[in-house]
Amino acid sequence: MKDGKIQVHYLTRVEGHGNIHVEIAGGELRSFRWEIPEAPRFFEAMVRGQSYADVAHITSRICGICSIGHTLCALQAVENALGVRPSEQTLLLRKLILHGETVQSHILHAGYLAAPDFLGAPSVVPLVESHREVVLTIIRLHRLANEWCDLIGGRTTHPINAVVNGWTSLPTEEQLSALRKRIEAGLADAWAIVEVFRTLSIPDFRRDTEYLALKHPDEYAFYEGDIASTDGGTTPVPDYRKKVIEFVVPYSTSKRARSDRRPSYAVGALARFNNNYEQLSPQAKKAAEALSLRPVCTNPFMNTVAQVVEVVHALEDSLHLIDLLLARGLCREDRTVEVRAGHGVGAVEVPRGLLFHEYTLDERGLVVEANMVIPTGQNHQNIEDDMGALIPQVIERPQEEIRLLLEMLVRAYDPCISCSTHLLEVEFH
Amino acid sequence: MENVERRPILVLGLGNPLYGDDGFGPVVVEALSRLELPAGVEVLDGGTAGLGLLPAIAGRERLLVVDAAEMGRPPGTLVHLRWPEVSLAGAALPLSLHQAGLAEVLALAERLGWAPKAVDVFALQPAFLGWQRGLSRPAQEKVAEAVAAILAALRVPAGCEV
Repeated sequence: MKDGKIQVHYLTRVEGHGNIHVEIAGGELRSFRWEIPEAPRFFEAMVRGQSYADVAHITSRICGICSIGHTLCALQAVENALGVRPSEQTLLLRKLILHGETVQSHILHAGYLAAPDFLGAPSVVPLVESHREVVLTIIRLHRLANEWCDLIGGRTTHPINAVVNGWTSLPTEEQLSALRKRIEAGLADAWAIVEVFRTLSIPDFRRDTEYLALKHPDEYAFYEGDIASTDGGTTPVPDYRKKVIEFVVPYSTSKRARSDRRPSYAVGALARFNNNYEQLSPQAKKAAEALSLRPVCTNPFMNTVAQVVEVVHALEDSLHLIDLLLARGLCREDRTVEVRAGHGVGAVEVPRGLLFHEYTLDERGLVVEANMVIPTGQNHQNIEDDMGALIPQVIERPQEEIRLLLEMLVRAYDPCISCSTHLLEVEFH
Repeated sequence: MENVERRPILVLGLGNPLYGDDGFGPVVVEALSRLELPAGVEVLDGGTAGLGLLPAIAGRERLLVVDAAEMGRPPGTLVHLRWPEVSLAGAALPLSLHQAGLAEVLALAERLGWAPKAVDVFALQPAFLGWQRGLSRPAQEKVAEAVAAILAALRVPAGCEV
């Protein structure tokens, strides 16, 4: 492409709206931008004045896809503010439902939204004819994950059973055993998806950047840990503002972030994989090998592949979590907490990456100050920096090819630009 | 989980309760869930799950959706639509999870041969949309009407005039 502009307005198959602007003149890249034109959101203001007991339910509505992650992150922050450490049973169930959401969201993205790019289809709908078995496998896994989240959380999304310091209702041991059987069957389906992704050709592009993810000594961290960086070192979660520095740019309403060391960094499945590869479950390591994914991988297009690996991990690790729960037996527990003034930070690895919630409570347990840092906001600057590196490498190619590559790049991050409204538009004939 | 008999009729509330009148669907299904409903009816708050709703919708005999909708009508207008008499804008576009999630889910379900035989949409023209919890007064005043309309629709077989 010698001269011209690439403009993608309302990029499809991402969660929300984002625009890509590229200007090329005389075969050289003149300008590029990744814009998020949606209205800024006011969640922080919305929870101010609300009770500590309601914050998780309110914030679960921020996102229809990461609602379990938001719930757990809010509970963690509130519990830290109140000085509460939940029981082992509570934590095991939280980790189990978080795995359910990871499978739900990754399958949605890898299966419905990203796979059409690799299989050369405009959307998942035509794949029903060309790749029916693949679509049915994706739907089976999706349904398993939905019913799994429903069993533990009391609802498919926006869980209602998860509350401060515990659960309002518990699954029975029979239900957990039944879930375990289905997850075993789901592992076979996940391997079928691994086989599909093995055959796909992923664009070859690498850019050195920093990857941030939670790290825990005992497990591949999703629910808790310190903030680890592929540049080395860890930061305790309460000090997250020292590592994660938020800023805004004039042409985009979403907040962005840089790290204390670099102008941009990435979070998400690839960031977790790069930081915690050694702690993946045995089958997930095999899946990574089958998919030629090795740490530290700096190809952002491989984020979708890392999601597939994490699906295998989440399924296999859930078998282990259920075994632990069944071995100790489930029982009703005291959930009372002592309300007091305090300040707490929560951090959870949601499907799209590292999420922070921070609350200050007054002596009645009402929120006086809140801050939330969402994964997609943290990735925006990294996406734009990827574009700046990618375009010169492919500038000789036809305009349409460059456009598709840029769209695929953004989609690989699985961005959740605004998982907010989905207002129907009705035309009368 | 697998043994649970799937009920043939689903009443689905869609929307975000943090976004003003977009929360109309969840509020209406919440009210419905406190009532005694005919056998075979399940009520679900679908939130903003978009394509994630496919497993919930697939294979139902009948689907009743309650949602806020941009229809170019006066704020607070409640309309009963029957699929596919109206087109939901975006249905023909490549899939995006964001906007007309329902149209896309139905398109995919149809292609798979899993679409409900009848779909009713109870749509409210919103009076206020924005980051705020709770419904505007015009929307609040329509909750009881929507509940009554859905109950009436459940009493008659799909496809008949209410």
